[in-house]
Amino acid sequence: MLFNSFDFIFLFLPMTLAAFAAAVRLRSSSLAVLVLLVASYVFYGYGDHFAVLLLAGSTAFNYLVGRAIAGTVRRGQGTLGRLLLGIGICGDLVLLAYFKYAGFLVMNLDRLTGAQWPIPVIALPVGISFYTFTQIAFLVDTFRGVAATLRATEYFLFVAYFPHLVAGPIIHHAQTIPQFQRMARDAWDASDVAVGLSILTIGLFKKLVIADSVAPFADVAFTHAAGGPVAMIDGWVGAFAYGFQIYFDFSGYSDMAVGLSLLVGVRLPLNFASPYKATSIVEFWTRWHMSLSQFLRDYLYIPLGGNRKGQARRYVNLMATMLLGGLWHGAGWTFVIWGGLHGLYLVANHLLRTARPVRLPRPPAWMSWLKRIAVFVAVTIAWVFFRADSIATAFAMLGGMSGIHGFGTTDAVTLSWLAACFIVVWALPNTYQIFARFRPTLPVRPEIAGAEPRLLVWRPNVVGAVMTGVVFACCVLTINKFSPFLYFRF
Amino acid sequence: MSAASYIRIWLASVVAILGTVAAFNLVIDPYDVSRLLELPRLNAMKPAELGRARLRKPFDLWRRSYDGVALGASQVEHGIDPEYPGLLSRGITLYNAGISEERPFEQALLLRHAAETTRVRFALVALDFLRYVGGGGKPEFMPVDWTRSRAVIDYLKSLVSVTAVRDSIATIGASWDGTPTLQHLPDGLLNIEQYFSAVGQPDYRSQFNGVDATYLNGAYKPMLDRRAELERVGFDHSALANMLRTVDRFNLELHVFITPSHARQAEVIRFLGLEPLFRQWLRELACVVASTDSGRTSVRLWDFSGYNSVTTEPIPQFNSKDRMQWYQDSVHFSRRAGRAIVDTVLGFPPSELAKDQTFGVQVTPANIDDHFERRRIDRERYLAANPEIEAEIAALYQGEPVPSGQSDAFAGPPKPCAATLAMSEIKMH
Repeated sequence: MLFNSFDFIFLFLPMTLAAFAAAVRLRSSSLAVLVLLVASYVFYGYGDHFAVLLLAGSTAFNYLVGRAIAGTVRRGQGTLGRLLLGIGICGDLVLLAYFKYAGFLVMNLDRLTGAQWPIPVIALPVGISFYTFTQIAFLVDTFRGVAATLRATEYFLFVAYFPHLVAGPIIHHAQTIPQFQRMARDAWDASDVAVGLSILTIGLFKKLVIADSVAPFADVAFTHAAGGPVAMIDGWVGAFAYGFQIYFDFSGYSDMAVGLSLLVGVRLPLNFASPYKATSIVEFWTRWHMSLSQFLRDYLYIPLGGNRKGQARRYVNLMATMLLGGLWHGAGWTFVIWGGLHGLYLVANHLLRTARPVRLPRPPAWMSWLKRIAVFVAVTIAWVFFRADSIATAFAMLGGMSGIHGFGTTDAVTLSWLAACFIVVWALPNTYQIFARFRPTLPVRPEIAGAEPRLLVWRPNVVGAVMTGVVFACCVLTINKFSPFLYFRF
Repeated sequence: MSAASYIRIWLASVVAILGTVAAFNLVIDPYDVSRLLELPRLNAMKPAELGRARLRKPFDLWRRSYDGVALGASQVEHGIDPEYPGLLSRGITLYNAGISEERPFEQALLLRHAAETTRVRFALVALDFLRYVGGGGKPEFMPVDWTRSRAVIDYLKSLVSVTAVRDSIATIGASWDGTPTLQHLPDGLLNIEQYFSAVGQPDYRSQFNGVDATYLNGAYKPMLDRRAELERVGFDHSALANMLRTVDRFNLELHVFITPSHARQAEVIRFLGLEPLFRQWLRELACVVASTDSGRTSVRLWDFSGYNSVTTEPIPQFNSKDRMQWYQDSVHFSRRAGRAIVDTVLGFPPSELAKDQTFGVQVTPANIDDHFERRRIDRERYLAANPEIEAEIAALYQGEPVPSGQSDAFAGPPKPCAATLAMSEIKMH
């Protein structure tokens, strides 16, 4: 089920909130957890019953393995615990590999060996990458002795919790489960609901009005590139349009996840914090898909050695992490190249920092803008691989962007949309900043959160309520086509 | 301001906007579904209705009771006239559920819907060789799991959409200006003849050439791509089988008919090398229809295509003022031809066409070879009288050269009915 669908907005959400309200009235956390668990499975299984069985099976497997690991930790049986952890992680990765990478693997083996094994066509269950990573983190932390033993319903809800299930954020048990356990003990906080509705509205607006409006500009350019040469302006317009499409699509989804979760009083981690304002690639990755970055850092980069084994090893670890991060997004060489490019960007970023040890105490504003633009252009070039359906198409786009096929033109409507997008991503505060004083997410590091804006600060007043209500209604009026979020396919 | 008040105002704003938009669209009714108010200067002309026939027509079948329903693609939509006096004088009410590009699976859905809701007694189902291959897939098609409740939900969704607001505004604009508009009449017929009366009849020869060129150079491509497979395993008759189940369940009379495309279309099929496949298709249809007809005579298969007195109507030259009696273009027959079809299949004394043994032949497995033989003789006669036809078709073709001189005989021995039915059974399950 999509957040941006009639079924979700007019049926699922009101019914879930009504059932949740009943649980709150009874002051029963267990009942509230059960309500959200059932709702999450209904949400996930809507139209795809097999995926529900897979989710339930995967969750049960990890829950049982987690309990067994916790037992070994209590009894001090480290070797057995390590073995169980290996079994758990392998089970998760095998499941992910089968559903996400089997076709890719066979296709490449066919190419390498000349064999003609039939390429399996396997439907990718939505959200499998997210719930697999969530559970691997849980198993690792259980082995480390930092995860509490949970009731089955709490664990199942932790994995399936509908605001985050299909496209993140990747939530951490230590942050989320205590909130589930506290749910319904206190009265339902109306200010959480008010903030949640407003953030939900902003998310819907970003997705339905901005992302879906710029998407056709990108589609046109990439379709042309797949079939022939692209002129420079057309190429850059397509690349920028895709950069904005994925930005507002994912940002919109992240806002909606935060808003929906607030409706039941649960705070999710911030997953998206103005990444195009970043002045370095390192900073970009602390602002884009923050929960994935943290996961890759904590459960891949640091276990690989991080920066503890010298500079050369650090760069190798960075490249490995980003290549796997690329592969996580999709089973295709274009995603691997995208990850590899970001790996190279990060290595270059660290090399530059090393080579220029002296820092200006207060760098001039123009320098920040120069860096911001450079980061934006570098990220945009990488998006070309991310969006293209083949490496050839990506190079055709990049060739066009370099100007080898002429200058080209564009129209005022396209330019207006792109200009509006630039203004929003560079000049306006992000959703978190607008609602910062109401703490809509889990705590955020100050350097990420930024200062509270002087204007555009949300306050519960009549004008704000009417405006957000009208915007929400206008968004609903545009829901007349199937438009899934881009991150659903990862 | 308290958070609770904020939530109340937020909700009130949402409800107010959505309610206002829904009420506006409900009253203006751009898709001709609610018919709440008829306001000549505001909603008489509905230009967006044409593209939303799949939304509207099921509601028409719900709204009132009909004795019969006509199903088919745009040929039926244009040509089967429920206001035909031959029907009205007998007190027979017919609804034209023809929809542009209507596919057999949609016909099956609509027939079941008509049987369940309006208690129809008979159905006229036009099958089209081109549309028989290729199922759904286009977003505008009915979903294969279409249900009445889903239709209601889809309509409610359409009321709160910005697209409907745009279409309502277009409705008001067209109605205010009195702009002639192509749209379906209350009984489902497309008002194309009234529309052409208002805006002027297009040149027949150009229309024929345009349609024939489209069919020659693109429309038959999916069938050409699948020709080998179709010759080997046969056509998918699951939708027809569904219709036959509905016929059994509701004790209906079913007249399946092959539409009377102009003889030039038969030549297009032949030019593309699809004549053997057409014959195989007709033979399979005869088998499927006959197989379900044991013990009753309520299902019949009629072939109006080929080279008969209607389909061989001369096409006026470019810029001629002459009007055709039977055609709008080479696949769309006129209302007059539609009346002749109704006369023939319902067994009325012919009023539109003197009794013509060649127009509308009931086809069975027993007479199909005779039918093909007569078709061959009729073709020879037609080409003798119109020797320029083959060259005209070839001139419209823009693809790779096709092998000429194909035989009239089927490439191999025709499959016996039992084999066709066995294959159909496999596909239906």
